[in-house]
Order: sequence, then structure tokens, then C-alpha cells
Amino acid sequence: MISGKSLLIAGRVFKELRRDYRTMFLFILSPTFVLILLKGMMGHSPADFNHFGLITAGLFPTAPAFLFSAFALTQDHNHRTLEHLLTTPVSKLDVILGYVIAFVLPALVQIGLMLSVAFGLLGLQVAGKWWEVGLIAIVNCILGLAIGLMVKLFARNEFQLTKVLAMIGVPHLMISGFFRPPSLMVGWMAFLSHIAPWRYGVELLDQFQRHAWPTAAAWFNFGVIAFIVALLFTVSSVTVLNRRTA
Amino acid sequence: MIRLRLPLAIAHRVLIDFFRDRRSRVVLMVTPGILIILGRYMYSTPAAFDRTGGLMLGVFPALSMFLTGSTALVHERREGTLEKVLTTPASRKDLVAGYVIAAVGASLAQAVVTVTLAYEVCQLTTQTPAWLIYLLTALCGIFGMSLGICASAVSKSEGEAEMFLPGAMVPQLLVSGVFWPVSRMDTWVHWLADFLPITALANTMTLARLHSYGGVSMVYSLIAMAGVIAISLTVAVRVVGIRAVTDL
Repeated sequence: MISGKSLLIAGRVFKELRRDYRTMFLFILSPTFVLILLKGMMGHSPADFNHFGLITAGLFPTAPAFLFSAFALTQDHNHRTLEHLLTTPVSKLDVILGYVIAFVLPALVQIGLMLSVAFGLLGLQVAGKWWEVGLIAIVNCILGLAIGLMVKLFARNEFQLTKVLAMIGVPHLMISGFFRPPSLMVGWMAFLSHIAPWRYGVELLDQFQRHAWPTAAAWFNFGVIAFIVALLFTVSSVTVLNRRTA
Repeated sequence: MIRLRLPLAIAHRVLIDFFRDRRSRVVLMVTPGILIILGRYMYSTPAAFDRTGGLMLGVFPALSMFLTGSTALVHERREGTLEKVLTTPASRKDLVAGYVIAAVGASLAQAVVTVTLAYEVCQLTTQTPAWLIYLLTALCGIFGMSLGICASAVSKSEGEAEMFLPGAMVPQLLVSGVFWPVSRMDTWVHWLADFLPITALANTMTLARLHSYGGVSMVYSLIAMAGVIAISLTVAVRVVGIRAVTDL
């Protein structure tokens, strides 16, 4: 399924990412930094740290992917790279896979660093294995990428993009149950949380708080995420990745 | 004596710029209100919401104005407007002053929407009378805008300016006490928080909620806020023109 073309595209996107050292720095270090901060905040209540630490470790990698993929795609649009790409015999699937590979590679470094700090230094304790949390983090990173590419639909340039990302990202995080589980929210907001993709990420992680191996609920949430990712990629491939010239 | 004609003209143009794009209008006028309503209904009773509600009234307007401010100057440099303004008799000081005046106007408008929603829809209760809360929320907006302008002056592109949000504002948001009470944090985080600009803002809003007119300590945190605003604007004035020239 992974063709040479998508690898080439991945190489180019990755080079683009790597060129801006500030982006790379933030991308790789921010989840670790937030976890350390969280440990400092909740050092006196280990139970809370284990809960929020797990969710942060598994969900936070979605945020940089969400932010930077939207910018990367906008730049490709503005520099007309995308137009040129789509005149060559590459399929849209190649382009999307290229983006996925370009973001998952640095995410491996990011997640590896984060997990070693979380489980090694900070003493995060959960029932699930560290690699299970790592795999979920990668899945969530791809989810963030899918949302990020989709967001491009609502913004023409970077200036608009900054607004749209904040308008979508912050409320989304609040209704996803990151801060308080949906069961504690008022009815309509708990209902609303069903349409927030990150909610399923949070619930998936929450399963591994108490169970060492994936439960039925975990598989269900994973399935929902996979469905959302597939749906978002399909939508972006017919909207965002369209050529504007004939 | 500061001449106001040039800053006012610049402020007029900046305000038009702020409100021209639909997305900017939403970020400025609607988003903080939505966030506060979402914050309210994460809790089942108004009383449980009070502790964070007061803080949110300061933090969310500041964030929204930070976002607006942090991309504004970069955008102007991109479009070439900044160059053109600086070739006129307007100085860099006039430019930043113009932005500040625009920030005051936008913050006041934003505060009217946000605070009204907080009191009417979310049933927030504060010891300090509502009119002062309106002003404090507007001040928080100006505070956010000043930090934003500063971030904008040192960034080359909108993408770079946006990095300040996850890189600088999110960590501050975490330790500000919106999500976790400051009193329960470790000492090193306390120590860190003492140096973060947002602490001044969080203290002001918490004190205003707890005590009528905030008391003496609120005066100190207001002075700290004014200090942060002054420092970030000074940096902006120093840097904005220089970057504009090197970009040529």
C-alpha cells in the first residue's frame, strides 16, 4: 500500500518541517514538557496525576500534529506545490500517506521521549503497558493530522488558519472530556461530546487506566477513531486536495 | 505630550482590520463567551463553577486577544502595510500606540459580551460589583493583546507567531489555576508561576471574585499587570521597525 511515491512526498514534507527548527523543537519537546509541568502541578495527588498523566501522554501528541499539519498543507497550497504534485501521476492517497509518514516519524521520537520521561522519571502508573500507551499516542497523532488537514477547508491563508485552529481546537478539547469526564457534565454537553473526535481518544486511554489488555470498550473506541480518521481523509481528499486549475 | 492624531488613525484602520474577516470577528467576540459557557456546563452547579469561572473571565479574553494581536503585525508586514505606515510621519511608537488604542476598543466590546454571558447565562457570582469586573476583563484583554503584539513583533510569519500559543500560552494556562488549584501545586511550579505574566492576571481575577473591590493585594497584582503590559509594549516598539527593515 505504501508506494515509493508516498515515501517521496513524505521526504519532502519532512524536509519542510525540519527546516523550521522552532517547529521541530516544539513538536518533539512539547508533550514531555507538559507532562513534567503536570507532575509539578499534581505531585501531591498521585491518583490525579496517573489519570491526567495518562490522558496527556496519549492525547497530547495529537495537538502539535493538528497545528503543524494544517500549516504545512496551507504552505503547500500557497506555494502551489500541491497543484504541481497533483499534475504528476500521484494519487491523492499517496499525498495523504506522504503526510502521515512525514508526521509519524518525528512523532515516534516525540512519543519515545515522552514515554521514557513519563514512566521512567515521573513514575506514571497505569494498568496498561507503556507500549500500548505509545501505540494509542500514534493513533491519536494520525487523528490530529486528519483533523488538521480537514481544517484547511475553513481557511484560505495562514492568517485565517490561526483563528480557525483556535476556534476549533480549544472548545473541542473542553467538550472531549479532557478536563472532566462527560459523565460529570450537564446533559446537553455530555451529548455534544459524542461528536468530538478526541472524546474517543480520551475514553480509549481511560480503559488502559484499569485494564492491562484492550477491553471491548477499548476496541470500540479504537474502531470509532479509525472510522473518523478514514472519514476525514476521504472528505479532505475530495475537498482540500483538489486542484483549482483544470 | 503624545499627539493622538496618528495613533487614532492607525487604531481606526487596525480595528477595521480586526473586524473585517469573519473568523477574526468570531475569535474576538464569540469564542471567549462560548468557552465560558462550555466551562460552566462542565460543572453541574453554578457554585462549583464560581472558582474557575472568575479566572476564565480573565484568561479566555486574554487568550483571544493574544491570538488576534500575535498575528496582526506579522500579517501587516506580510501585506506590506507596515512598510507603508512606517514611511509616513508615523513613528514606531505611533504604530504600537495605535494598536493599543484598538486593543482598548476591541477589549471593551469583547468584555461586554463575555461578562454579560457569564453573569446572565452562567450565573457567576462575584464579590466585586459587575461594572468593575467588566473593566477588569477588558484590562485582561489589553494584557493579552500586549503580549500578542510583542510575540508578533519577534515573529517572521503567522506560523511562527502561532507557535507561541502552544509554546508559551498553553503552559501558562495550565499553571494559571484554571484547571487545577494553584494551592495544591508543587513548590517549584509555584516558583515558576511567580515569574509568568499570567499569574498577575489570575491573581487579579481571583481577588476580585473573593473580596469586594479586591483589597490591597489586588492593587499589587494590577501594578504587576501594568508592568507586563509596559514591558511587552516597549519590546514591541524596539523590535517592530528593525525587523521590518531587515526583511526588505
